Amino acid sequence: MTREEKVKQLIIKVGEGKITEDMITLDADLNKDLGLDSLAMVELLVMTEDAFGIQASKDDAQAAGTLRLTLAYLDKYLEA
Amino acid sequence: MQAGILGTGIHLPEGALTNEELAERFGLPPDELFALSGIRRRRVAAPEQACSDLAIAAARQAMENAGAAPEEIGMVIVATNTGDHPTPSTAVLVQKGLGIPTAGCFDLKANCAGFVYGLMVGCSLVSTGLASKVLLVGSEVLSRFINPTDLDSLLLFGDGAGAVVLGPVAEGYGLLASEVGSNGEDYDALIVEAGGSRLPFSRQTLEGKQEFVRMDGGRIFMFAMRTLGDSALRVIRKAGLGVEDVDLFIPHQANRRIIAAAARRLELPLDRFVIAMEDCGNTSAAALPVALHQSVVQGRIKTGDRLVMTGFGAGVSWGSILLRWGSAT
Repeated sequence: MTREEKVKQLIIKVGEGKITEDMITLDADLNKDLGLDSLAMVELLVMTEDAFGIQASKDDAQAAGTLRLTLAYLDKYLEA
Repeated sequence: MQAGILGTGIHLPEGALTNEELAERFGLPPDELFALSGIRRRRVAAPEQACSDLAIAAARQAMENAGAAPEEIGMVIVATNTGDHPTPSTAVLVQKGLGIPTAGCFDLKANCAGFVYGLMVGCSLVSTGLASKVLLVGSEVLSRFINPTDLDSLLLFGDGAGAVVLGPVAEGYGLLASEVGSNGEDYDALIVEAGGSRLPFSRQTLEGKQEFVRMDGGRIFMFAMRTLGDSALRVIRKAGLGVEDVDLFIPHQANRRIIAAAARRLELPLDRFVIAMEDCGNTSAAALPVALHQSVVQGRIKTGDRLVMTGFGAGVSWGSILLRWGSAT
């Protein structure tokens, strides 16, 4: 599974059945377009950290409002 | 000697703050408030009720259910953040109210994890023969410490009390394992700043509303979501068991979203977790015994069941106990 596919699965899991794979484009806003509220965003961060074995800074995590931005911060941590 | 829970009791005040009232005050839809918390109303003690009043009512019921007479109680422990007075302990007021003669009495402050710490300490006192029976109460009147303009805190916290009587149980029953921990680096994630020796009450602290709970919600949510699962897994492993051996998880009733998130993280169905905050809110140190008692009354717990109870909160502190229900000697 690619990094992108893995993050999509996490978004679907956190979405509690309200998000399907076709809704998750690279630039869909996780809050405004997909309906993840602030608690769901924190859950996604914890799930992402667990799945990739990283610990993101608060600033990076808060900036990750789309799949593209999430993949960008993962690149930063995984390739550091 | 094995120690376990012989009886449970609760007391929830009749007064309540509903989502509808909060929605009107803050201009938000009630459904949104429920979606954020899993809480429809939080109980509010009457002005004349203090922590010990709720504790005594819950304890009386627990002692009746356990068949424990006042003179059998060797130790009274009250887990609370909101005791009647800074001094003396609320435990002595509970002792007085219940007519318990000459028992040891002390309060225990480990915040929302207080009841788990109390179970660990109380069972140790029984199993080492230092007390034949222990009365352990979690009791809170948090409504006195909530800023009336702070929706995050108003949404979650409620008043209430839950109690258990601890005593000897048959081999293989009662407390099987426990684990507790804290991380003081995050001491300010949930704090009441004023009223202690660091910052005594003054006009400035009152103007700054520093006598109220202040919470970094995101930081607490992240800590809680991780800790609920991690601490539960540690205590299960410590007992030499697997997740499949646990019949029921009773987590701290902080927020339904935390429990749901932790269940997803553990890949366990949500129906293996007790969710009991909808009608009373997060009652901090009282939340676990309230959820336990309600599960007993609803018939969700039967003799021989293995339960994991996990508390977590300010400090940040956490703890889990694994116990096998029933078989009082």
